Amino acid sequence: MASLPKRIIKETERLVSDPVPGITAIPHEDNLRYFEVTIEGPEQSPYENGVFGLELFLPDDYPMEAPKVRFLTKIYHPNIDRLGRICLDVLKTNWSPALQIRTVLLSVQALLASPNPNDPLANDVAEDWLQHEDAAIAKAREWTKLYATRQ
Amino acid sequence: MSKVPRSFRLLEELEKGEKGLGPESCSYGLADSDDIAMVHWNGTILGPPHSNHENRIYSVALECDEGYPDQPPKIKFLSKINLPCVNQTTGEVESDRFETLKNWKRSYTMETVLLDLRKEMAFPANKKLPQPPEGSTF
Amino acid sequence: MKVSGKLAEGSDEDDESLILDFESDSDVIDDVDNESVLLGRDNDVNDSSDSSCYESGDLSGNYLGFDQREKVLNPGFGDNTYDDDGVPKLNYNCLTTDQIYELMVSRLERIQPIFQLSYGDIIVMLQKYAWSEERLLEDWTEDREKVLVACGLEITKTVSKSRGIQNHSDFLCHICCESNKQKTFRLECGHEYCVECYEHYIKDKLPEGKIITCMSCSLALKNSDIDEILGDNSSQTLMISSIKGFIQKHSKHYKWCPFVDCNCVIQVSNLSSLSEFPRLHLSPYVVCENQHRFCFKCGLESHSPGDCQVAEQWVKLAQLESENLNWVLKNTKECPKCGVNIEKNGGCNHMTCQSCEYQFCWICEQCWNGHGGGFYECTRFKKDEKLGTAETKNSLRKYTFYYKLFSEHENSAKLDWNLGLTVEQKVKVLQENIGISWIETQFLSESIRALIEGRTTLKWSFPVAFYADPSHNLTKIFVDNQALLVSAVEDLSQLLQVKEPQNIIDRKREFYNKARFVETRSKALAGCGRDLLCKGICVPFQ
Repeated sequence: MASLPKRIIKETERLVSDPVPGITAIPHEDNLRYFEVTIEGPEQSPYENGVFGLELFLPDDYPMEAPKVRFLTKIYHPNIDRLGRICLDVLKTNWSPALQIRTVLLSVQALLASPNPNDPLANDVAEDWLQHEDAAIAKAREWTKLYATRQ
Repeated sequence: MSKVPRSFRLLEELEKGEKGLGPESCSYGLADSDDIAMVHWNGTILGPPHSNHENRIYSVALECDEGYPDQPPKIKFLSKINLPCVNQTTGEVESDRFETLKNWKRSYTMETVLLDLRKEMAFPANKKLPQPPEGSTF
Repeated sequence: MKVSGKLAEGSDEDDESLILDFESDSDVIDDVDNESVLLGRDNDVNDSSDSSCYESGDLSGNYLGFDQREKVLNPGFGDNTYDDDGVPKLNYNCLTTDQIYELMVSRLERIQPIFQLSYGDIIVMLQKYAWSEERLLEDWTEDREKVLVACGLEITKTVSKSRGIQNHSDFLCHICCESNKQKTFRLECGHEYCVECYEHYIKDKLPEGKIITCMSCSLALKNSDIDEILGDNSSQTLMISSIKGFIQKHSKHYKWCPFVDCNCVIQVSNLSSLSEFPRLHLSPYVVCENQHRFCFKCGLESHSPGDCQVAEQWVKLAQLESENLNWVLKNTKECPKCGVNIEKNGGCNHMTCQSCEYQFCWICEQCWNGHGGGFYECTRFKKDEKLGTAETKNSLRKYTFYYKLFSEHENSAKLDWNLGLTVEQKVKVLQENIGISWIETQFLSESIRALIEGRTTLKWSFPVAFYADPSHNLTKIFVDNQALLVSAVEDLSQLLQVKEPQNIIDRKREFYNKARFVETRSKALAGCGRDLLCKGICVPFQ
């Protein structure tokens, strides 16, 4: 395996030495570009008290190309689909090489705190969210309890 | 080149399949769109022209387990077909009789498998093999 | 010919496009006209439509066109005029990307005094405004500060570092995290990174044709910065991408010639006449500088006697069946709202058109709002997809039959084209040796052109036959017409097999007659096909 770029080494070190509260990211031993991630559901959100598993991969062209991130824990959220894929601007068009793994994960956490059913995306969950917000929030809370409770 | 992990590799394949970026002669997608592990897939192969398979559409089931893409997927015909590499009782494609599975490379995809099976159907020794009635299943 | 850039307002209400107009004076047109008479082209053009028709003064778009027939204007009909056959007139120019670039630069020179900024700054602003000067000027008059900030030309914070490449002895770049960097780059914002990272970053962004900003904030890199980092003229790539973006954004006015390796852009100035075509089952054909004839509506090659609908359905089937039609743009789709071509580049099915910002689902092309499925899976598509029904298969078989005929003529056209090149080469030698004038050998290229166009008409008559009701009498007449054109085309093709150059010159009259006959037969077949469409005998189905 080609040697790991310094940038990735530095970021990984800092994730360990100076972790972001509520977020962990640990590289796989056999693939140092591939991270096992957990994000705690933000307080006062339907995801509160939940711990969500994600996976993150740094492609060859990182940091010129954005990291790839996906939820592994089932989650009821208007911007996350059934396979855990995330529709988030900084992961797509608004990526900048000055952003980092930690900033991306913080953005994902922020997305949990403020679901965005209007713009720029929608799906069946989003429709639900717009039409029956209370019921949707209740369902998100229920799913959190069901799938994202720390063992 | 870094190794793309299984799930992101499968997501790439899924997107290619969903967006119709691949060839028109085959298609594939997740069998269950809720399947976060992305193990079970469905595929179709359009029979190649100038063969006994012309205008037929074959359904197959693919299974990409934990070893994929280091290991080849398992593939099984749902539609009945008469091909040397297909087990005539189960419909399974036998890896020792199908070059693509036998000499599997990490760069191969499910699309490679489907297209190579189509080539197999068009292979001179195979294209005139008598075929079971259309629509019958294993 | 005098060429100048001119900002004109289009006729459409939502039109904010910059129209790069060619102004040519009337004697230029007369020249062209005379030339075509000399070439003996289009003898059947109505003589009454002589130069007097150019006096109408309503030359909203002047022509660099080649087909004289398309150049005739009937006076007194305003913008939407028709030719003898009732075909609406299309006013258009053929431009190259270089010409478009020149026109853009000439615009810059004109508007520079308004802004009192450098060209580099104005280019950035125009890129931000997708080359819509009007919107830019509007916002500029309202609040210039705001425009400058939005375009990344000024920063709100008062940090002011020197701009450009800097030299260090030991710099730690926060992008690659490497130390010992000596050359760096920064803008006034002070976000400084090593030149290697900047090179990589810019190279990735150049093809997008959009403003490239500082890696950390919205301050814009100017063309001069890009050239400083990547070397001379690197920013030209960005400008070319930007022109492409411009053309895409204004795809109503501009279309690329679809022929392989052709860099021509056709600009249509009287858009309102475009809408007349479908109603009449006609298509707005244009001819580029390299003599490529294509349909301005659907962007395919000339598909007469079929209309755009026939062509579209046929191509859809062809995509299902065959992969060798290289003019089918496989990886792009048109925005369902504004028609701009959109390329898929990964990500989810939730597409946002860069041009009109319409949001839609890639798979079913429906509006994104209220789209039922998840954003990586379209449920609508799944429901509609019924492969393998008996009906589909029967039509596939019928299709294969017609497709073979279709592709046969496509191949023949290619062979004829090559044959034509050889013959032309021989005649050229003769021209040099015996001293025959260029004009005198033009009949040859004219004949080849007639032959290729005849083949193309034949080719596209098969889709019409495919979709036509076979029991109808008119369909039978259509098929008879096809046979007549086939024999006319084969006749002319055979004449081109003549090997002896002198013999070719001697048989000039024969070439004329056979080429004319092909043209007449093509026209008849086209007319008959249109009849089938107008009367609903030929109905392209989904």
